[in-house]
Amino acid sequence: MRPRVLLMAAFCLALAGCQSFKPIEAMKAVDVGDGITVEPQVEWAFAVGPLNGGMSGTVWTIDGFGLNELRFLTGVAGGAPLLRIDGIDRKDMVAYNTTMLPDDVMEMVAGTLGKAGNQQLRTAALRPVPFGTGTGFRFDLSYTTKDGLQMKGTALFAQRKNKLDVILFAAPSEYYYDRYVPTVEKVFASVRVADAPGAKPSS
Amino acid sequence: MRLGRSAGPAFAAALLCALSGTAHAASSDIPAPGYRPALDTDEGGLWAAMDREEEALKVSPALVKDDALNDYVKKIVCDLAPAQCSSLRVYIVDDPSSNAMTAPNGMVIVWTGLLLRTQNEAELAFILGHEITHYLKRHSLLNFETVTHTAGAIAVLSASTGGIGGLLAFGAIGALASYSRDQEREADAGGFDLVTANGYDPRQGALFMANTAEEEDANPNRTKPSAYLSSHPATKERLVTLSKRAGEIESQTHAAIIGADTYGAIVGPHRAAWLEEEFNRGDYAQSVVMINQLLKLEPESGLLQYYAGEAYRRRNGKGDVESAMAAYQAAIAGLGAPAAAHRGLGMVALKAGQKGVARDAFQKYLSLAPDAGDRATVQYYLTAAGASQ
Repeated sequence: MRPRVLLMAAFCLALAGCQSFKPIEAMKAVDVGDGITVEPQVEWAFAVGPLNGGMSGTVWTIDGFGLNELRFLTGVAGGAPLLRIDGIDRKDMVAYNTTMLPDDVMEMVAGTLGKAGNQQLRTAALRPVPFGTGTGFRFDLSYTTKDGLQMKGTALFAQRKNKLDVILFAAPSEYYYDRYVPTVEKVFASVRVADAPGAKPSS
Repeated sequence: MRLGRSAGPAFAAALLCALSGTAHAASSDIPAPGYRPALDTDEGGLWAAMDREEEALKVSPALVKDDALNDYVKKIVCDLAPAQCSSLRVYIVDDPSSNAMTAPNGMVIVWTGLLLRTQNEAELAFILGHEITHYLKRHSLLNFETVTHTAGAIAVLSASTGGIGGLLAFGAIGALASYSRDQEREADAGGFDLVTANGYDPRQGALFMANTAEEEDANPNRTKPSAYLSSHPATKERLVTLSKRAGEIESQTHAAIIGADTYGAIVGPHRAAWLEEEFNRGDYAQSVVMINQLLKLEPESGLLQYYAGEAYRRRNGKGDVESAMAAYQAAIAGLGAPAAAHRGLGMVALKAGQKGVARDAFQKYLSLAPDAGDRATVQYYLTAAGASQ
């Protein structure tokens, strides 16, 4: 690992200093909410707290906040924002609407990340993909954090029963994204929905 | 990308301690060309902190590197303040906030969100004149000397060494640029004097303020004013003052410069990218107003009509599907609309249950953009609109 990457790792871990985590086993399916289970593929750390990295949602990380974050935002109901952001009033957030088309959802995710102070947000390659046995959508994104870190990300989402489920992975574009995105692809492919045919029971 | 910033608070504390024992500079003098304060003064310490931010800004991915645009803005600055031309350095940052500022060391930062909103050179000149006046009057230094006697100084300096993101978010330097209302009135007056002395139309500053106020008022959910307005006196007061002064001087003006064509030629190539960035703010109600303000000047613009459609579609309020559909159709009938106008029309038609319109629009989009990255999604929409596979 290059010195620059090590410095970045140290900085980001320092930011996450007081956060507590619980381990997640690699090969055991995990219920991430709204009847959705995924298989972690590798060992992750589950962040314990209402706001993780300044935003709500269930977050898994391998190396720490800012380095790799897999954020599960499940069961978002109509009228609700995608997540809560530290210091941002709920009224200022874009809310989910059950009539949204996949493009609308992608734009809402980008707008939400923008509200969190990220800049130069770009989204691309919105495409339909499997979500369990149903249909979901994927898109890729890039942005610069308010601390100047260039990030890449990829998101999987599905609209089911008037609710929205989003799984969002983000990591620095230098080194970390490319290192972990193959694992994330497998996590995405492992999605099972409890009320769908062939779904696995949650652990 | 910035590394090693965790030392920021320690640096800030050390700098604050160093400054607390130094003599204060004479704060109110206009800085002479090439002026640089001694490092053992409050002002010298403040400049050193700003120099660090400027070095970071120079390598930031947010910096807009278009030479023509940078030269254009720099020329306006130099025309307004020729004696300080060599002391003022312009940086344009890719950020949809409507903002501009001048740091005490002469670093002039202009946000692309401001350049999207100013409609001509005279409006931009007024804003730059306002910010130059803050610099000439050393307002940020006066503020700094005030906060160094309070616990707030730690926060200011910690934030100011917190990286370019804080700067872009108008956090750190913004704290220094949180001018008093009297300072803002002085900057408005100074900016007005600078633009009128340079032959600009005296009414344009007030027009910019009116448009900004209209945009702010459009968002009933907004809990905070824009970065630009948050530190300024009441917009109505500024409007009245600027309009009154413009009225007094207008009768004497013969060939006032507005500079809409020149401004449009320089800024135009960036407009689509900046409008895309605008939507990432997620304040669609304001975007609707701002784009319609631009459309008043260029009603034939297919590009602006397309983005008006995008703003309505994303706001998704009562009547917005219909407004979006009309805007997309106007875009398609206008000049320079992107292929995506057909996709947008298809999306709102699909929502409105007009499946035939949706199918035609999506098929047109795919014929115009056969290699579109979202082709598979549009095929999905086509299926939803009842098209055969």
